Amino acid sequence: MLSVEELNVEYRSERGVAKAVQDVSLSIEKGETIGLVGESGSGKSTLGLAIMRLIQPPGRITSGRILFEGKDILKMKEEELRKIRGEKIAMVFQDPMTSLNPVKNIEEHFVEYITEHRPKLSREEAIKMAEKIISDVGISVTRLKEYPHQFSGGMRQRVMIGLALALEPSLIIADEPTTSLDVMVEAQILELMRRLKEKYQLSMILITHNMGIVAEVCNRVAVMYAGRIAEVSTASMLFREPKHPYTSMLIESIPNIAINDQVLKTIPGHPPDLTDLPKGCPFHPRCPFAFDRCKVEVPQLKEVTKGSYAACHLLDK
Amino acid sequence: MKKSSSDQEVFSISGILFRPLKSAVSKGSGRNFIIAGLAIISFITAMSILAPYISPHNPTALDVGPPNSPPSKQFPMGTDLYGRDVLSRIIWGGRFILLVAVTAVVICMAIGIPIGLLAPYAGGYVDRIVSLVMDSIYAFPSLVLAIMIVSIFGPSVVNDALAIAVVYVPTYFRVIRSQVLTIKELPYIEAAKSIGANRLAILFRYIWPNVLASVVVVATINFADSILTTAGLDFIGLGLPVTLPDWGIDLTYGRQGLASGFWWDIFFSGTMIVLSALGFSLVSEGMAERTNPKLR
Amino acid sequence: MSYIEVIDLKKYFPVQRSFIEQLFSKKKEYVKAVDGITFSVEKGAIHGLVGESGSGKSTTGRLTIALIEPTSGTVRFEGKDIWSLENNQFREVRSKMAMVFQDPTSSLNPKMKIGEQVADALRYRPEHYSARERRESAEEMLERVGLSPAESFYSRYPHELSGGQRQRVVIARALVTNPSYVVADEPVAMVDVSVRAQIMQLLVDLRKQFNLTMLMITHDLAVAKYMCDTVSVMYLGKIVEEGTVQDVFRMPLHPYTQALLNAVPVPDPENKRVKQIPSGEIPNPINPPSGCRFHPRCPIAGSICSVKEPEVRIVKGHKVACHFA
Repeated sequence: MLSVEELNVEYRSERGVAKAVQDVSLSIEKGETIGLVGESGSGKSTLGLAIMRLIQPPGRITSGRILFEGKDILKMKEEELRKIRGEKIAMVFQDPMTSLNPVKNIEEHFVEYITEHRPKLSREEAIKMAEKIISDVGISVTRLKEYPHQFSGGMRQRVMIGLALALEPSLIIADEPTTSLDVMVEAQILELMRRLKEKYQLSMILITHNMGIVAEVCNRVAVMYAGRIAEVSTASMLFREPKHPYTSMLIESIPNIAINDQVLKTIPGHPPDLTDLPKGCPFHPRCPFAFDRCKVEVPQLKEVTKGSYAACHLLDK
Repeated sequence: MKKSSSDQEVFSISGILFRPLKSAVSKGSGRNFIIAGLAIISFITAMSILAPYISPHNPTALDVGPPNSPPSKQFPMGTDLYGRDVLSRIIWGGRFILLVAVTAVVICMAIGIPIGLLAPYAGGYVDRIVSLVMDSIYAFPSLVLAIMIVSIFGPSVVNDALAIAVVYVPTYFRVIRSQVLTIKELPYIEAAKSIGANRLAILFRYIWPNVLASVVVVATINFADSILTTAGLDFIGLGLPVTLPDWGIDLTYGRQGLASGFWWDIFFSGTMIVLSALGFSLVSEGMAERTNPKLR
Repeated sequence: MSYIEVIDLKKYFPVQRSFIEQLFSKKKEYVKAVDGITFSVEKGAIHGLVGESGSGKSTTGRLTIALIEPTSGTVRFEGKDIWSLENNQFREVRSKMAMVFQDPTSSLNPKMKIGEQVADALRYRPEHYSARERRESAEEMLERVGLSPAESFYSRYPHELSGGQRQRVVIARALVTNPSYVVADEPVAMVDVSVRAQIMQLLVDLRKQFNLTMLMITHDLAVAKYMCDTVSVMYLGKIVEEGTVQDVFRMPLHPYTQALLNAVPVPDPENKRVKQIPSGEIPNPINPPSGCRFHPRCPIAGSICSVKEPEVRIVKGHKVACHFA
């Protein structure tokens, strides 16, 4: 249903041009949850924003296509884009505190949002919709008249999810939806998202740096590093047989609470500066398997086994 | 829908108006502003210092040329109503104003910075009382207060400077105080405490260097403001202690001639006042842009 | 004798009120950040304080290092009650302690060279060091935390370093004074995922080299499991369970600990657990629930739980505060 093709996004700053997303191609099928995993500078959040065409200057989408239900989002006019944003694709952000207007109560948030997109609906009808959604996300209807500051972090995130679902979109992009939440609330929210996904037949792009969440919630996973996709695979394949050195080293460097007497492997170095990327494979300075070709040629994403893709020269050997 | 289409119109109009400015600012023109401002300031400072050597005529000498003669090869900026060479008066005219401005800023900083640093750091009642006093002074219209002080104590470099300084200290105080209050809560201050730094060390080694940038911004605005206020005082005849050549006083002389169509005196002196204030304002804007690069 | 000991420690923070409120009502409200905890840390051990937000773990850490003063209760270092010491003895005890902060970006002075910041830790000591001695020690420490060549790193500013490098500077600053006790407050939470293992390994190595006793504050149970020997699980200002990492994590007795372990996402899709997540969220520490703090959310709460606070008992070799454990 969504297909990203050869997408490139860059940011201009005083220090130079940061290539946030480079030649990224990815497709999402209906009904699946795909995880977009990476650390800071990987480009995962930028990719999410680009799909909604929310990239603001000094950022710029320089090339590529994003096909949604057959049409290229990047070529759409404002009118068409409005119909998609919220109604077909909706986004949930990380920090609900700054996304909600402190001077409006929750009901107002919903009514404004709903009537903005569906002007023909009356206020009463919008409120009815809001009531249905809010109880779906686990908040009592009586709390609709309250203000954001009266809600806890987890509750506010539920409100955000409710808003995202209000117009019954088919795709949700969630950018680090639980990062600012406590562990148990995180588990609650993930459970909620899983339940709603089934109920509303949603497709979801889950952007996170947490491999644990990805393992529990996602069907497929795309691992990003320095603006490029390193590996795409099903969740179970990714953890069982990672094809890219970054993926395997990352998994082995994360403390896993289910393992006793774990030995962690460290990855040397640190993620690169996007304005000063190394030539060839962006991971080569840190990769213990790097050889000459890695330093000059950027590896392309290739299918390794059915459904598993990786961008690494080692796989050609 | 009605709301969104008029939104669109507003956006496109403001886009046309603000886009050049927006792109100038986002391209990091902070540096350009500072360079331009410094160029103007150095030019004016050099001109004022070298005045005795580069001024073609004695600026106070009467009748060096026919009175009220327009700009010519002999008198590039013309002569004023007393036959004095305007160009020479322009070259000499910044000295007093600049001297007062420098003195005012020095006094301001000497008073404003310590208070701005110590009051919020001490906190509690001290902070409350000092803020109250500062806010009261701040509420006063600056030019009126300056006029009051100068009328009572008489014009001189120091008195003019004091008049301006009194009015401006609250601005230093507010800016520095808000910065100190923010920085005080940051983890690196807690870290400094954890390594055993005493309060004075924290203030001078950890807080002050991070406040410095905004002090420069305020100081440059202070300069610009002093120039305009001094010129204003001179204009109404209150600022200058004696009959010195001065841009402000030339506004007075020039005003009389303007009615008769003699535009050059008031024009050149007015331009110099604006130009020098502009120089400092540009540096201030440039510095503000650099310390806060996310401002769009 | 335990190295660090905390007895019935409490820290209440007064809630800020407006001027008018202060004028008209005498009622004072307090955030009961730490509400009566007792634990001890053995010499050379890494003890974890684990909990979510509002648990009081950060405040506890700062109390043990004398950065803040307790509202009531005792903090003992090598058997001595630190708050009853004379000024110079207090300073001496303080000089043996150091803290590693959470956010490497905001815990470094942006306008000071990083080498100077490390050297500064030696400036305010009871022993006097010359400028040259300070510089040499700082450079040596920078080498030991992996920032090599130290001479070149000394003159750099924080913004020139990566997040992981900055955290190394923070660690260097803590250890340059040769402390015997270090509190690490979420030392890897704000570091990139691929760099976390480096920093954790560094802390483990340095602990051995310096023979440190450490208090590790974290919300990340996986990190606690990896790094700590013993652990206290905190909830809303109280310790609910405590013991060796093996005991607590493999055989959690308190319903909160069990829920917490159950909720942690595991990076292994084959690990399919049934999630039993308690409803609700952490209550406000200004008005904690009566009796056992966890009772409103507890799946096995009984009538006694809302009335009486559970006492700490020893069950199966480790401590737990629950009526039904």
